[in-house]
Amino acid sequence: MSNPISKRQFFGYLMAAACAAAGGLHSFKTYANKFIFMEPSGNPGPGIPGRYSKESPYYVVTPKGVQCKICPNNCILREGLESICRTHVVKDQKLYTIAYGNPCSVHVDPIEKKPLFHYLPATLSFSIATAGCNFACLNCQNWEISQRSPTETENTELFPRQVVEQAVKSGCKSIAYTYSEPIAFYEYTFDTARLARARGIKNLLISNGYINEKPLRDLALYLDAANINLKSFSDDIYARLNGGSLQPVLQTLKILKELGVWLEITNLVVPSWTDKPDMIAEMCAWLMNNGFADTPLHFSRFHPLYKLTGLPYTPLSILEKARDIALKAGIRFVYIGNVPGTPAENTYCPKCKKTVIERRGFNISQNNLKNAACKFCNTPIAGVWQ
Amino acid sequence: MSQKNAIRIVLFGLGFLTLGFQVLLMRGFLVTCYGNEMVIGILLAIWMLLTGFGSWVGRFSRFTLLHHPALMLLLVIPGIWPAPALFLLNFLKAVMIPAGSMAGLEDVFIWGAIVQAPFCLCTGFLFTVLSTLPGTGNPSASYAWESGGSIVACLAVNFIFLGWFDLFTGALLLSVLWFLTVSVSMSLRRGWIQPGVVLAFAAVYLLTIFRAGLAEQSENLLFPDQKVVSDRVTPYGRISVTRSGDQFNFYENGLLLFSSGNTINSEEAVHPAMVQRPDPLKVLMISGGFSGALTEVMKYHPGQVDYLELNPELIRVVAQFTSQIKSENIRTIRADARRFLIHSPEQYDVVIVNLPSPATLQINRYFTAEFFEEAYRHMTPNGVIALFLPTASDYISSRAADLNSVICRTLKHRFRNVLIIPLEKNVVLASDSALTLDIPGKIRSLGIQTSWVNPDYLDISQLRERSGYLEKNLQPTGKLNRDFDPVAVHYQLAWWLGYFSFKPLVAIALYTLLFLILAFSQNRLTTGMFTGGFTLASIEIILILAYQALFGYLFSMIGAIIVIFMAGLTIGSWLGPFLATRWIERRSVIRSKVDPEAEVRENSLNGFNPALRQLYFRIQIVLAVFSMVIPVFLLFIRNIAGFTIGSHLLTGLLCLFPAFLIGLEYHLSVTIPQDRINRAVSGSYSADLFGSAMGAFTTGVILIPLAGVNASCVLLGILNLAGAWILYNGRRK
Repeated sequence: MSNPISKRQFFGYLMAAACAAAGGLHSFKTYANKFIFMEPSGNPGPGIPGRYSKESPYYVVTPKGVQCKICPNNCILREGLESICRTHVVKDQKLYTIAYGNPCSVHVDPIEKKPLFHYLPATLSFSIATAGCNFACLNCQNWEISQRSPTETENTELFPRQVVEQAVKSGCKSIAYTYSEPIAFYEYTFDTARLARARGIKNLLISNGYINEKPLRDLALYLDAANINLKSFSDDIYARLNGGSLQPVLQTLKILKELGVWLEITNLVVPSWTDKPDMIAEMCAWLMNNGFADTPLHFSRFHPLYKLTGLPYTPLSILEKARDIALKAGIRFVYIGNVPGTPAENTYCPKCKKTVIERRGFNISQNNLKNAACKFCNTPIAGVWQ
Repeated sequence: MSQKNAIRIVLFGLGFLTLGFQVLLMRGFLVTCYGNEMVIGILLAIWMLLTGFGSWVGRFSRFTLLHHPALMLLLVIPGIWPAPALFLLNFLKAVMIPAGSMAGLEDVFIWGAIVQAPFCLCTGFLFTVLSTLPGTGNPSASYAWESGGSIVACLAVNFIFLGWFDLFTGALLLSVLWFLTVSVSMSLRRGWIQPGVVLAFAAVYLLTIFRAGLAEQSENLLFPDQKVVSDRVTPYGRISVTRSGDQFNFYENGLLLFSSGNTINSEEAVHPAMVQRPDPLKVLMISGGFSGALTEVMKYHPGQVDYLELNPELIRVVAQFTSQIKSENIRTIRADARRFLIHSPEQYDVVIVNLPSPATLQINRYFTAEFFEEAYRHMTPNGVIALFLPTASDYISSRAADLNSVICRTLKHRFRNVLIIPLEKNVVLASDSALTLDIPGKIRSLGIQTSWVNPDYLDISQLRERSGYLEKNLQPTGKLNRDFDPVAVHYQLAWWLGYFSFKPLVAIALYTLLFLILAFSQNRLTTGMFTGGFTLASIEIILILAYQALFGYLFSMIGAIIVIFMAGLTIGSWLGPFLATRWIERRSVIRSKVDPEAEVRENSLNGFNPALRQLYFRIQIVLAVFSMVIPVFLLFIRNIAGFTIGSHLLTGLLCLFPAFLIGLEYHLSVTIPQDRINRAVSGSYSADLFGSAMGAFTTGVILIPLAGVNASCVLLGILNLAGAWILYNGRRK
């Protein structure tokens, strides 16, 4: 029979094993990531600006670190740290984006899918996104890119010039910065939009509108249309559901309107969060008081996604109620989204109530617009139609 | 009545209460945490760790009498806990995470610990105390009585409680039975004063719970802003129906199955497959038909639709709250589809597997090479099969790509053509004949009326672009998803973990640390119980998985398997004294003939009875060998699956044998050391539970999904060999 192992010896062995484990941790991590947890490898890690990096124009160096000034998160970063949106890092006291020319999602979509109903209808939009978002919505349908850093996603190389070329080549009238959050890839959006404008391609911002004034005003110079997701009309809900706040979004709406960017607003009606009639009425009253009567408003049906799988789909009756509240408040063009076949996808003349544009899905089955006005009563219908 | 009998009644009741509450609580957790196997594995592990710790603490008790006032108080605690625990679970969810959101892993850990701790610590402690009170008799008999209570609870809860009562009523009934058990056992010893106090307390307690309306409050916490119109606990899961606005929502185990009036899901489930074979004679739909999918199928006027639904309660409640299509051509069959297909002679033109993606081993059975083979046998030459996976149309992550890849690869192994269509979900079609992506074009040409699956919403050029994008990102080579190598579950779990800020290295480090602490805190005898508990929990999971894969899911049989395991434990521990005595006698005769001094020498060296130690050692070796040959038995059962009596008998023996060995091992581990009995009992029982905790989690969540059944069995064998080696060479603590 062999000699027993004493406690002292055992802990000695354990320490030796721990040292060996620590030594092999790096290689184990690589193994674990690749074979067990299936993490992609590829881009340089956070804090290592490389081919897909560019210095950001919006930051200040503070004693606490480098402060990003793109969005109201106003992240203060030091080397090795990532911004909340996961797309900005600091190197040598400078702020860099690492979401530049490396989109993870590139598709061609009908413009109605954004949704934009009053802007160049029935055209195609070249749609791009990189990973990252300055929100963390519990119901995000694109969480696999929005809640990731560009270093974690499988990306393709498409620098701004190439984006514009591809858009032209695919017959698209516009480029949509969409899917995740274009404010998180602001620098890429900005440079692409500037080049697109020069080539006559329109620029569409599909965003949560959570951006600081200066970068917004700079970007708006090249924007043609935007759909801003006004997620609720409560600071508390913005904080708990999305990780943001309301006022900056309202400010964005005002600025885009002031600068003449065609604007549409989406409001996702999430059961037990944003479906309260009082809150919807308050939101509509604010829109009316701030001159958004002609701004199309889309009430969108919630689907249980990501972490909010414990909630049901938004009942159609709730969506119809929300639409009624908005129409009664005086908003002229109110739609219901994510409900196939609903007549609330059509555009009705606010005066004679006749159908001006009948939509079947992403197609237009009937167009009664004449010179941007209802052909029955000649009432102007707000929008950019051609 | 002697103290011994009174204690045995309490131990029986304790076994009944603990297992009964465990089943009810796990049902509660399933709903609250949208449980998959990882969540349940974590919760069971916490349960057994806490109970094991309680049992270990029991070694320090100084109780000598059952009717000691402090012990009486301890006996009351497990009785009052079940119903408030169920409420507490939903309350914690309501206050700790946002409404409607999914519980993260850290939430599961915290809630699991808070809700289970008072009960598990107390019952673990009580087991040690009751097993070692003076006059209790052989501690392995106590183990047998406790296991006996668990067997009865398993039968009662699964076959009576879950069919007749909701969770709260079930929990209150458990409390009542427990208080009665305690009162009766005390009355037999000490008259009616103490039992009277217990019963009076129980009456006040029950009245308080009813008046507080805990059940209703709990439901409201679970489904905020929805009116619960029906809530039934069934053997197959908990079915809840809520109303919000004009819409009815149907939940199974807290997961939304469907909402009334949602055409997107029902159209996507049906038309991509049906347009491929627009003149079907026979259609098979597995689950999800009442959401409106059957209505969509009937638009093609099939000769016969066989609709399979496992849970009869679901059929009933859906019919109660929604209007369903009525047709003589629809045959609703209440059965597990794999079980049905084994015996069915039918041939189908279209098979629609309308199930969620393979998040659990049970659902994974419909995504494996073996199922596709079985389905293929029941399909006409041009037949088409459809199933659904998580969507990835805007972007396919490596996790989603792996999951989609393995299912497509597995389908390609059997079918000539596989097509993946990115819609709200990814629709995967497979057939030996040609498949078309032009779903909208076919819908239009057939004149089928739809509101979503049509050219208005689905553009063929965009479908091609996105389908091509998906195809490009799929891996054509690699493992197939099999019944006994369910790699898709692993990919699905990895995808699910991506929801949270999951740190794999931290998790691995914590798991390893816990395993090492638990393993190395054992002495040479309890190491055997640790590896034995680990092995038994693992074998139980493997055999339940195997049974479902081989014969289809049958609730009563799964219950029977668990009962057989417990019966094995009971028999092993019950017969332990007899078998051990026979072993000693036989060995003494042999040894005394050869070397009469040998036994004296070994006793003086080790302080252990060498004959029993040798028996213990041999059990470890037998367990190791048995674990390693389980795959051979499974292969044999698969080959004689047609001979159902023989294969069921063999499956039963596979369950009974290792459990019997562990029961016997328990007897040995509390008998061999000439030590204080409460130390021996607490050490052995806690080691068994610690091992079971690690085994249930490791095998269900890590080993099977990552390595498959065969490799898991080999690893179990190695673990038991290690246990045997430690027993033979290790140092006595």
